[in-house]
Amino acid sequence: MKKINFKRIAAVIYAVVIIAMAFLFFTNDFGLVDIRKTAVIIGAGIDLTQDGISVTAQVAIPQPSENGESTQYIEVEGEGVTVADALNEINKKTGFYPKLVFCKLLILGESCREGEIFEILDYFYRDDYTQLTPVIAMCKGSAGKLLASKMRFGNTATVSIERLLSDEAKKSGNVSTVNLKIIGIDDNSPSQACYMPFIRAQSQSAEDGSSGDSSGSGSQSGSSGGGSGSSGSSSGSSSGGGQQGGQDSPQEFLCDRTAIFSGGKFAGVLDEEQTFALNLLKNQVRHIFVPCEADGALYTLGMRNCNGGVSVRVENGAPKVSVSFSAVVQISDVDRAEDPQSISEGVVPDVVLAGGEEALRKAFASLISALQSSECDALGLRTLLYRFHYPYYEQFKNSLLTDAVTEFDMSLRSAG
Amino acid sequence: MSQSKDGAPALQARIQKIKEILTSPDILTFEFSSLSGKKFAAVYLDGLADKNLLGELVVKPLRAAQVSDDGKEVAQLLASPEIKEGKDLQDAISGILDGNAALYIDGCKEFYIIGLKNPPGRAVMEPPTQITVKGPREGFTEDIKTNLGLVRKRLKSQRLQVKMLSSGRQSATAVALCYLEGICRDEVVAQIEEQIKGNKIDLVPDSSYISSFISKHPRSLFKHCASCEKPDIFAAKLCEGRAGLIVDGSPIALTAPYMIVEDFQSAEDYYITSYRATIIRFLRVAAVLVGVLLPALYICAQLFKIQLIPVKLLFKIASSVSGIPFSPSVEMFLTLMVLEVLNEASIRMPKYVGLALSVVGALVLGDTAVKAGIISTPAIIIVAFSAICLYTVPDLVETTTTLRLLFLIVAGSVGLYGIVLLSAYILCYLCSEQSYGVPLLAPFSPLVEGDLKDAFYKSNLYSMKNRPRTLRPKNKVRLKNDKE
Amino acid sequence: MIKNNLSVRQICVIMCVFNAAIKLMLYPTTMAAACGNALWLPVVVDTALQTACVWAVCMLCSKTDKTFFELLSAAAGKWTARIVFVLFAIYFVLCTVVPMTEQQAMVHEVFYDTIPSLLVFLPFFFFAVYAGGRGLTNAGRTAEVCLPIFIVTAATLVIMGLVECDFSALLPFLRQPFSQLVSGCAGGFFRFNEGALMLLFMGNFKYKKGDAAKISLSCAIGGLIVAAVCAVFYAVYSDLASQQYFAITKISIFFSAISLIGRTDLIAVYALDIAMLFAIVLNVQLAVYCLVKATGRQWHPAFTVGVNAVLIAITFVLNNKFALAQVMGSRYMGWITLAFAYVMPAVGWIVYAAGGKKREKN
Repeated sequence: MKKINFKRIAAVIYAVVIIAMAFLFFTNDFGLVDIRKTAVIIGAGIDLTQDGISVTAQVAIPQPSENGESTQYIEVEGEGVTVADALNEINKKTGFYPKLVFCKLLILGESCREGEIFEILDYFYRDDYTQLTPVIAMCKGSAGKLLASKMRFGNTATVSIERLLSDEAKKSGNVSTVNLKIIGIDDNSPSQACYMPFIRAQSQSAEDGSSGDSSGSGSQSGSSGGGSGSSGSSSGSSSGGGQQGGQDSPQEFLCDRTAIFSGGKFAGVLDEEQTFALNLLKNQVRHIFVPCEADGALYTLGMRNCNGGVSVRVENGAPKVSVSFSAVVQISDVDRAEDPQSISEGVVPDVVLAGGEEALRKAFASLISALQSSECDALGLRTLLYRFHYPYYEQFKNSLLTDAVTEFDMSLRSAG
Repeated sequence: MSQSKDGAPALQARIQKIKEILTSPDILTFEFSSLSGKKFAAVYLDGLADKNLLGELVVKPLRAAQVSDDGKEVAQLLASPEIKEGKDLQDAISGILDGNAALYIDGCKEFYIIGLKNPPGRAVMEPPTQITVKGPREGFTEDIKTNLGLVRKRLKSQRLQVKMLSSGRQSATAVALCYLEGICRDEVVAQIEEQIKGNKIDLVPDSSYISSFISKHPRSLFKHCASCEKPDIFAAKLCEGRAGLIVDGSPIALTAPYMIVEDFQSAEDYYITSYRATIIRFLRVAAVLVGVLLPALYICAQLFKIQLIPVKLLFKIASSVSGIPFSPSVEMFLTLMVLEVLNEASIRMPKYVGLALSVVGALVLGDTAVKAGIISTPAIIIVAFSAICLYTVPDLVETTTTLRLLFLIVAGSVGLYGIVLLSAYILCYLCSEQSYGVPLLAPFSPLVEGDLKDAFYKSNLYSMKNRPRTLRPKNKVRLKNDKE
Repeated sequence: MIKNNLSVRQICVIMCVFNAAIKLMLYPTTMAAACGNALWLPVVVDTALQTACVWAVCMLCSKTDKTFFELLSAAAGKWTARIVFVLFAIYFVLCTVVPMTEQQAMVHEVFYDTIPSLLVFLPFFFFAVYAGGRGLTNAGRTAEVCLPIFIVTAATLVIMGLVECDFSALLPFLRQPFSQLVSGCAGGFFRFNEGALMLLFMGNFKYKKGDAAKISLSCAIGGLIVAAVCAVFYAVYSDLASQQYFAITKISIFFSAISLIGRTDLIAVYALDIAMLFAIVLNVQLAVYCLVKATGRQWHPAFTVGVNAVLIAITFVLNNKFALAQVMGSRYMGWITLAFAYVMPAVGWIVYAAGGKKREKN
């Protein structure tokens, strides 16, 4: 029998492989979707309709140009029984394969209050090619119309809203920025509660009045105790009135309220003060402004080195919730003129510190009251009990939110 | 053939014999007589032998001398320091073809080969590739003797051994095998010598031929011996325990054993501060990796994984490529081919035409092609940057440009996983290859910690007390204090 | 000529790096699904068990410098040794199946945006055919090259993941039912085969005093690296961890710079995949080594091609049946691993002792 020459066979195999690779290389026609066949979705809005789900995708369509500066953004709507269906519809309409890898923003329309949000968001948790990084928010009205609005700042709705929900905004305590991962973890935790920013147009805030969207016993967005940091939330009036009537005029948006969910179902909207309190306790805030009343004047206190949190402990067989907050305080502004000496010293009087503590205490109390009335454990008290006091978990898990005694531990000190 | 009394062939007969074999008209004969009437004939190669030296060192002293009949004192009379008694006709022919002169004495059996070689050649100048800002600027030339002189100038050691070998059946190219006795391993020297002697090729015009002889895998993409154009580098490598080869007719000397890390070392690293040298070394490694992988990664990002590109940059790239008629891989391939053509043409084209054609290449092919929408700006930027990166390590350019093309083809056909597989394949290959018992990837694999001082980073001169352990030198210590 | 010499350092690196790399694909996710926030515990337990086996084999190496094949031949005859080594070859082929299918799934998910065809994974076998026949010396050298790659890439990914970590998600500590933990240990049992590896390294390296401690420590460190990655993974994803396949590719995506510079963490993932590739191919190299020993011939390309042909066939059969491979692995491979990675080291001591008695008799 002839001896098999493996070297020769190897040489033939190498030649065949190289020819095959060259063929693949030059034709590139083996079903892959490259950059030219892709619709890059940068933001998506989801609304519930009578027939199912409507997804409005804000798609970036790069235009041919030598210096690469031309990108067009269009909104494409697709409807279906599920989100996947609706995206497939978008594929059919555009001829491009929609890719969600660059989707940074998901907006749920007001209609999504009716259903269970995780039934809607299930697609994003299932799809292997979609990450859990998109920021998620709920909006007043239709998410599709929001994305189609003309913006005052920024060229697209997605870019403008992303700016409002950026990490910087989060650090100012005014916005409860969350992503898909966070709400997924919160909903699957023992607390079974999550929250997300609630977006409304500047004109809608005028229409709202006071109680339209707030939770049952939540307080209003007053000037005392509510954070009103300037990041993202634009001042000045929007042209036109309300979102529906003013689509052609540039819009400004506010994200200083928070929609809360319990067991995946909508439980209410926290107002600005409650949102601010929630952010102080749940997020790492850096530099915040707190208005307060003290010594017959209205102060705006700037606070740094903020450290807020919630803890749960069991004392004498009874659960106790401790809300703590500490910061270094400076007086940013006062509504009366002060002498240069006290301004240069920079020392914050004790009475002002006490005023600040009182304002914060009021905000925290308002938050807890709102959460209790809506039976939404957005602060994650049950989770804390589960993790740190597991032996008491079964005993107190149902009554923790309503029956636990809340203590406030405020510690503000002057920077000067 | 007429003979003299002692049986030696007559002068004319000997000259005739040579001319029958060497028929070329540039083989010249000069006949002269001494004062005593003794006849001599010098046969030499016009163009290679120095006629002035012939006149001064041979003819002048002999003409003025009384030479006896047996001619035994001729060797003492000659003023040349390089005199060898010839053995036979073949010896004479080799000597003549080498540029020496064969001196025949009428009536004497003996003849002498006199060293008069002065072939045309370049002066010692700075080599074109291994340029240093600080450090020596002398480079090897095509003359083996000059090169050996340059090495001897730097290694005034009795340990420096030079074995003269000959390679090429027709060219009989002189090859000098240099090593430091007591430092270089004997088996390395023996193996190299055996491989040079064992090769029966006709012509050896350059040291690259020798490098393929002494390599166990001449078809490999990676070389198995290092090359250098500077005597200071050559001397340093000999001191580390390597053997070196200087080939007549080539300004590029070879050293073995070879490790890939050598190509990332530059002579300048040893003349500047170690911190700067370390940073530059990291930069070279990064540059080579970027140069080889960047075009492939760019293709993969467009075709297979757009997430690799930040979103704003993605939109710019997408805008730039959306009007291009070719697929990303074909576009990149064509751009690379244009670059290779430009590269090749710029080396080959006459100097006077070079400037005009460079303008054509840069402006027309680059700028106009982009404006016409045939290729995109990112492709040009990437190819140009890749080319510049690869030239940070000029000794590896042949290998890295081939690898770049391979990675490109694999990336365009298989994708990112193809790049990973090819990288793993190359790593596996390099781990199994050796150069005279020294693994190519040493001192990283197998890990030799002490050698990392001059591989991974460049440490201070006084920290490098021992020679590289990877080379297994016979004498391990290269730096000793007076106190030791 | 294929060489099989290893140094102790190379064995330590194989025990640490390769064994960690091969477990970073799907193992953390399966442990998260099985044990929740105690996912690190089965890793530690299985690591401890295998480290003990590795130590036992190392102590055997200190007694003799013969290979396992030579010990078996001396005690039970050449044909018994050959049969055992054929079984070892089959074992290592089976050890390759699950990591290979995981690698295939990881390639589909992490290397491409849209699902490619099976053909895209087939080039793996070109590499496996080439690397599979290089011998243990090559395996050791590639391990040394992979060490800095693994350290840098794994550290980069873990550090990028630490930003989003909430380690309180790992609490409460050890509150899962014991049966759940045992089931987790049993489910991942088949992935720990360091004892079998060490048996085949026997006689291929020069043992010096203290090497047993070094090698065992390396094995333990490899396991602890996996446990640490599991902990970080769960700290990032908490209850969502069981849905996140290929943990090591997902822990860094929340790093804030990613949004500015793109998914450059994927470059670290792709570099880490080089170490994973070599770790998978090590099983192929060992299968080929066993076949060569069993047949008593010189290495020939047919051995490597044969082993890879079997693996290609398995790949085609298991295409789109990824879950089946996982189930088969956890259900049946555990018993096989028990035999080869636990029982065989004990057999090694027995045959050594039997060989000693024979020497005394003679």
